[in-house]
Amino acid sequence: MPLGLLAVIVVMGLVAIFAVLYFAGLTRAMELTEATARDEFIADNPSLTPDSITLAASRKAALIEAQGLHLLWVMGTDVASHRLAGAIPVETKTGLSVHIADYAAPRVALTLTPEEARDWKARITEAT
Amino acid sequence: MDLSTLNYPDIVSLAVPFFVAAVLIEIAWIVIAKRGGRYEARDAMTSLAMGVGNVVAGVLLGFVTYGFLMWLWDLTPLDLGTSPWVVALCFVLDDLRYYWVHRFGHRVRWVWASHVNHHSSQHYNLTTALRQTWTGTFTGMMVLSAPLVLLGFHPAMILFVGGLNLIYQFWIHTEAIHKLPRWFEAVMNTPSHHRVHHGRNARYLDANYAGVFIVWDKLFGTFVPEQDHDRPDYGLVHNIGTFNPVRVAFHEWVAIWRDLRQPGLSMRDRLAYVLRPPGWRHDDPGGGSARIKADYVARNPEASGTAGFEGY
Repeated sequence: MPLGLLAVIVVMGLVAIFAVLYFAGLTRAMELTEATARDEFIADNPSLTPDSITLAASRKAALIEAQGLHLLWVMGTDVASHRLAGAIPVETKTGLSVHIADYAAPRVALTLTPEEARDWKARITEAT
Repeated sequence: MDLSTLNYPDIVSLAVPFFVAAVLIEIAWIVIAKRGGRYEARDAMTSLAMGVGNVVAGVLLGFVTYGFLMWLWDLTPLDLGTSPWVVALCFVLDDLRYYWVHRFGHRVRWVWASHVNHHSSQHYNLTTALRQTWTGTFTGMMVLSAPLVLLGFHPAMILFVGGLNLIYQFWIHTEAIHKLPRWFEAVMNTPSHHRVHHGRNARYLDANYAGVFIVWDKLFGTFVPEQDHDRPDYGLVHNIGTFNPVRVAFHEWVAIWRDLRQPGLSMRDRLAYVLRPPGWRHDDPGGGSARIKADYVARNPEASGTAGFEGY
């Protein structure tokens, strides 16, 4: 197959797939509850048991105490978590931007109320 | 298709329109049937970008593998020819090669660094099949093709059947198909068997490495059947927090480099960080999948001795 034709098929295919996914509404962001946050955290950290869970009002993130402070956050329909040792929280207009010292999870933008942002920043700073 | 010559078609390129159509059909099926899998747009786009990057890497670095195999071809006195039977035998033996490359890909961190991106999606759909490595050439796993060349299979034939193997594995990356007829499940790799391979559940770690024929896993003791009471949870033991394809492609290489730079390590430790299974640490050498399985069984004693926990 000529390379040009292959490139056209690939580009058109990517556009078509993205458009279908967008319009099909298959990627509605997950909303956490305390129970789902706990389950997702344990699935991602099977050797740890959460001692406390602080859920953001946006339901898109949680601070979790489990042998140290961890952040659990929603990425669309996915969830990721990370220990917050060495993390740097920076206040933004919508909440916090947490810079994590990990190439595979470099920065997390959190939507938080002003009160949450202040509280979470203090807790993250204290933990690091 | 004329298999009696060495002008094999680039079948993976020819299959690209089929890949695109199949993804669209799978999405349509999930929307209409409201079951059969999950999609996340950014995850799917990352997978497709990884697929494009894999093709580009192949164009840029493919000469390394082909050059190595042609060098071996010049050395060997054997030539099995190009009959369809030879192609069929090559396909089967190449699948055995694939099994071991894949097993090394999960048990040797240097090879895992290349393969990890294929498992980095939290979803299991047809786009996941296209989430392929950019750095496979650097693992050196091409040496496992050497026996085939030395036995008399031409390098062009080996790459051709490797393409067929890749195409076969595309359609098994789906939740839209539950189980296939028993005879097929007994011999062939299927969506059910491969879902197990992508599961991060303790039960499913380091299982079902097969490409086309699941019999290799049964032969070498790595087969675990999918359990209806323990649905696969897809992704890595600890998932990454990015959709950036470059970070997906290189994150484990960066992690190896970070580990190697720790102060106070012996040369033995440094080698172990490269060659031992993922999860090994100098200050916790028992870490990794065996520990995860043992911990799971300690918390769930009733699982001891069941599928995936034999010996625990």
